[in-house]
Amino acid sequence: MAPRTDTAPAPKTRRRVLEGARTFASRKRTREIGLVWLFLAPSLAIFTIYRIVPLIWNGVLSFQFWSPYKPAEFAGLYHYEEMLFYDEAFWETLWNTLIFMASAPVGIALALGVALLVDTPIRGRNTYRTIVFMSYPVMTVAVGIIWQWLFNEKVGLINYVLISLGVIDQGIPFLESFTFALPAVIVASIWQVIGFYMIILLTGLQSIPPSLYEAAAIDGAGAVQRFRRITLPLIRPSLFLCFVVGIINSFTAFDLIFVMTGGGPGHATDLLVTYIYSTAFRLSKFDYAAAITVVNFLLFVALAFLANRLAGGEAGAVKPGG
Amino acid sequence: MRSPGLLKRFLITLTAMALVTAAWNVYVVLNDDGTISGRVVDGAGNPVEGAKVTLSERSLLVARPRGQTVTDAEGQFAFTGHRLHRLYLEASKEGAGRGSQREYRLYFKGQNLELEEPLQLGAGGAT
Amino acid sequence: MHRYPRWPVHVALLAVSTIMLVPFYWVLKTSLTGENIFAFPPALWPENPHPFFYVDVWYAIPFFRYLVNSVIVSVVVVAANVVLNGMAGYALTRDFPGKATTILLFLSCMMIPFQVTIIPAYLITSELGLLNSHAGMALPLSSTIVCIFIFKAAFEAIPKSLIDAARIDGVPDWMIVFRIIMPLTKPAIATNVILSFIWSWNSFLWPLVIIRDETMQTLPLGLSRFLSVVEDTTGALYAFCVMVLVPGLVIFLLAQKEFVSGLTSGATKG
Repeated sequence: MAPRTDTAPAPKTRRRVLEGARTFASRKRTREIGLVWLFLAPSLAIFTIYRIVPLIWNGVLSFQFWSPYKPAEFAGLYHYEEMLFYDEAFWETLWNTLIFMASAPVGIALALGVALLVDTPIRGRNTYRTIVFMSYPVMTVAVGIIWQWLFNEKVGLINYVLISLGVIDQGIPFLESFTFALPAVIVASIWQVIGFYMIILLTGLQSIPPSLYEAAAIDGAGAVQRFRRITLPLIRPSLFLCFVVGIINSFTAFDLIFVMTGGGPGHATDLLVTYIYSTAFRLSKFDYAAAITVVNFLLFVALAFLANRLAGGEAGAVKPGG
Repeated sequence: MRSPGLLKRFLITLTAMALVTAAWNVYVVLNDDGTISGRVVDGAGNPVEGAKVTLSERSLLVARPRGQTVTDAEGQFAFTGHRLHRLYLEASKEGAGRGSQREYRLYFKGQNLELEEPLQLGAGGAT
Repeated sequence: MHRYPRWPVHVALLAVSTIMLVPFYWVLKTSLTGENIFAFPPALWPENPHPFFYVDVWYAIPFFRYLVNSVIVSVVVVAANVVLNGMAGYALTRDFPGKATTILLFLSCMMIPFQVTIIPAYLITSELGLLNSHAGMALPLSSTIVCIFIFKAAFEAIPKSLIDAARIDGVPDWMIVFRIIMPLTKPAIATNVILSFIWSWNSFLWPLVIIRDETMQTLPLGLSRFLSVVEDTTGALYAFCVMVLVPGLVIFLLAQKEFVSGLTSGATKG
């Protein structure tokens, strides 16, 4: 935007002024573009160093034999072959990841129930909301420690409650059990994330105009019908967003599992992300872990793509893992 | 906008925390000479002279002896300059038996400690 | 619609609240009483509570050091996020060659979860010589794509005429930034601060990977180390856990509304 001169100059000088303005404008434009790139540079640099280059490096690494003490050597599909055909732990962790993901609807359903409750005009609803939400921003490592304690075989509160209710006779060592360890971790994870789901759904619920409900009530629609015909369709975007959060969660839920079970017993609670960590940083098999990472990433992209298609292109934000 | 209120809340909280911390530190400085004083009595409640009092440190996992002293004619004993926060005291005397080991937990390292109840010989563990 | 009785809602919500709060209560109780792991049933109420486990922990670990590390990393990350994302978000409101590509690049970076790049990211950080350092912990978190787009939206919402008017009045650029742009983008800044604070404060996997030195550990790292090293110290562990939870919870309770709106817009926009 070149500054305008107020008075119209005489034709001769006018041309010169216009030219001057143009060079001024173009110089200004160059400067502006320079400034734009200068502004973008730090962020771009960070994403290049920590997202793009690693992704490529990771891909390359997965086709190599490499360890910090060994020069790289071409490996072809060796790691992929090993992973897909010989590594049972990989399939187990993949399966666990899918189970973890499939548990998201349970959490979302519970959260929807709570959201409907706190959406009613009762006294103290803000307090209730705060209480339910409070577990979400809390440090996950601490959450893991708390839940590990609650699931304790001898003095854990959960076993105590179950015994008192007569459900079981003896304490279950939840986190050491092949059957119960994964469900136990999932319970803890739902407990932490449910407040977040609730807030997302609540925003959806509050965007529904009350007049719709009133009209439906006049037409004689019951509560259940109103819920099915009005509420559910209208909070679809929020529900979808919750699913996206759930999917991301199943790929990034490292802290909780690391603290609660360390992936054990065996690989009963290992997700892909924890398996990658232990393969790379415990066993120093960086090359092999890179191959698993590639599969993990492709799976993630495929799911995100699928979810996006299901939502009709209405992309939910993808929260970058922190 | 809510922000001014927010800033104020943070300032109040931080100031309160700073004040409490400062007060606590002043208290600690005034009371961390690391003195322990108390008495040793026998089973009947009479002061015992020449009883050996052992001070040991209880860290998270193990106990280590840190000092020893002997009571005077009134059964009084004192330690100075300890830097412990979790400690055991145990009194014993040849012929008069042993007292049970007693645990004391302090709020900070080197807190001055005056035993309200005397250590009793022969009351606790076997000789 | 509002004619049903209220008490069932209250009962249900009280039940939910109990479930949400009991874990916190349980860990607080244990930190005050310790726990005899051979005693069954566990006591529901604290018996003879005392604060000495906190004293034990305070002397057993360099808690203050962990806290300072956590604070340093979080402050650096939050400051870097606000500045860098603001700059990038502003840049994206202008027209320039390569804009579409840049936006596409950002959007595709969003599809790369940080966890996926952890191995090369570790190797790169090691090449940069940033292992065991605050900078190494903070750098990958220093800019967030979601927040760049939140800033972009906020800048686009500022009427151009307002800024032009200020320019014509001869207001210097820096004053335009501080007097006009900053107040108008306050919600975006708040969202940014909250999100980057949560991510950096709770960040665990990354510090776990690059920090070996005990003096550089942050709170979550120290907590998990303590868990694995000392097993015989129930009361102390939970006292530590409470000490780690308290700063985060205090900040959350002081700024609840901002947290909720920040996290929601972080999830819904972008």
